[in-house]
Amino acid sequence: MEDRFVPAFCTEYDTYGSVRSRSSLLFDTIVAFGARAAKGHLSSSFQRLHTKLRERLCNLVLDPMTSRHGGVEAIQALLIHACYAEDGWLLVSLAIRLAIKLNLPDSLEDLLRMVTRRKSHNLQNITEQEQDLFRATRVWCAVFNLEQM
Amino acid sequence: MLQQSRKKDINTHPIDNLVVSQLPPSRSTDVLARSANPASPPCTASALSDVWSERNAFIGVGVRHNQGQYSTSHNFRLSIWRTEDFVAQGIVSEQEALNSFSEFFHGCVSISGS
Repeated sequence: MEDRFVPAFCTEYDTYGSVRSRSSLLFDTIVAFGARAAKGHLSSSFQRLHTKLRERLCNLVLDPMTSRHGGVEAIQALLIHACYAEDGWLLVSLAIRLAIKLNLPDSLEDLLRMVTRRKSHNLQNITEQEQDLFRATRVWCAVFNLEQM
Repeated sequence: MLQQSRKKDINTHPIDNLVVSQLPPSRSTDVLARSANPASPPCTASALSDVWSERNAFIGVGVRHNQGQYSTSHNFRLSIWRTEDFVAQGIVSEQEALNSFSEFFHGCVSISGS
């Protein structure tokens, strides 16, 4: 398996349909950078998508706290941009602020508490809330790692 | 907290006033076809979500059945207001988007995760 040093996605959860239903910003970002991976950063298709995406990103940067842009998906989109931008630190900083707004830093502790409680009751089934916390923890760790680089 | 944030999001949208004519043509056709069937539920938001999840067109992953109930209708509500993506705008085709999406998880390994 490849080196995944900043894992921000779950390939089982963040599927095409799931991402598209949750956030057009994240969806478009993945599609654009997927085109870049496939055809190169100088390809016309990537440049076209990236230009359109930049406007959306500006809206997010200028108005990050609106409910329309909020959410873990916005943070994931910022992470993708940050990984390919020369001034990625700026976007990571914004991602950190959004993550704090969503209480993502508490997600790991909440997750551990929930897992411990579940195991103490000998329950095997992972709850939906636990899965949400796991995803939040994953994104938080990804933001944190990137911020430390 | 995440749930609260999302609920706050959806509560700002007047989804309950949605009418079929506001939907993109392909989806409104589906909805109309379904509404013509007496056995189908009325064209409420829940009914629309049912159509979409069955057809997998909008790929309403947020719309899940839980013992016959729509347990996460708020996710569906969110999805309606987020249709302005590249595919919906016709900037890329569905197939191109699928290919790029797949390529992202194969080619951008450092951030894609597992």
